[in-house]
Amino acid sequence: MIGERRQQGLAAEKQALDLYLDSLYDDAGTGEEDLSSAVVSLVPESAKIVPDVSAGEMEPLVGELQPRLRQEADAPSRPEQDLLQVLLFNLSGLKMAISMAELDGVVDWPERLVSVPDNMPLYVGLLQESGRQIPVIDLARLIFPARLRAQQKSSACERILLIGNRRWGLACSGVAEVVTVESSAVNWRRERTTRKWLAGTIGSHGSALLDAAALERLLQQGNELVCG
Amino acid sequence: MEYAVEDDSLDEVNDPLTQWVTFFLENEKYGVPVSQVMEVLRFTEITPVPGAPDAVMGIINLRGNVVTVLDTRKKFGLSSRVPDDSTRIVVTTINEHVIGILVDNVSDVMWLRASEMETTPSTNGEENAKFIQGVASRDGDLLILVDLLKLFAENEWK
Repeated sequence: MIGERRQQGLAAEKQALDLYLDSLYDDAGTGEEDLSSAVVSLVPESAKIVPDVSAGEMEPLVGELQPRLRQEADAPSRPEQDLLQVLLFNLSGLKMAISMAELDGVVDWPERLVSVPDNMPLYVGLLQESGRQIPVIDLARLIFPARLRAQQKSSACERILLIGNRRWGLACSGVAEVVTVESSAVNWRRERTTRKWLAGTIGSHGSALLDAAALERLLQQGNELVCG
Repeated sequence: MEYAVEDDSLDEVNDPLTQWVTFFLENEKYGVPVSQVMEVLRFTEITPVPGAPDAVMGIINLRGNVVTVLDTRKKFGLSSRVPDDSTRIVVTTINEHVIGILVDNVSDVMWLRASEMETTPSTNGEENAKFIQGVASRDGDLLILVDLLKLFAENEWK
């Protein structure tokens, strides 16, 4: 009896997550893409790197890749031929992706974050990293709409993604691997009246692609960050 | 009391020194300017005031003067805590009003250079309303600097 109920609960939770991901797909749109609204790194075939990402290796890996990717981002854009390198990460069961060009580092969850009052609910605390105080944001709270948040199984945050020249940290459950996808394989969102932090979806990996630059702008504005 | 003046040769005009009374709330260390602190009291019975704002715990009698005491934990969004031997009331003066703030315990008095203070990135979108004016790092620990004027709403001190 209890087992049945638990299975029903898990099924409902999975259904909710599937529905949410489906809604992201619906919102992402198809057909001709307007890449001007999306933040992408344009990496040529020669720069294709698919490293094996493990817990202890993330920081040096990102540090090593970053200069080259930043440089390539300035290259002329050829969307139909260009490749996009993204880090897949886990957010309470939801598969997410972030462009490597927008990622400044990944750090392990610290022993403690300094809790500073008088901030928005998304705010987890201050991370002390390399002499800097970096606000850490609860990404799951932003991504999951309130109606799904109650059903969502909370999982411990294990990593922090650093974006915006290490000005912001995003709490996530864990990181997976770096993959290269063709830009044309991404369902880019064209118009963003809601969820401005969502660049699009990557169907081949079943993940939502985060627009870190747009998210940073929202955070700087102190926007309430529409979750629905 | 700990005084940490390390280099007197620094330009006092360009990088002035200020003194801060530090206290703890829920394991975090906070600071308020010494110039705004009148005295620190041991916890004493606080008389509730019917109809007072939510963050007002009540009043105390300080040598014949009535002092309003604020529930700092409530203002900071923290859960309440039963007062114990280390609980203190920091009596402050803001705009000629005397207000007490209840804290878990008082730590020490610190000197800080202006250059040591960093503003925290805004994450509430209302810069003018922020009562945390910044942070200062010392020996790996972070001191959170409180702007008392912004902490107290006008209806709480009048």
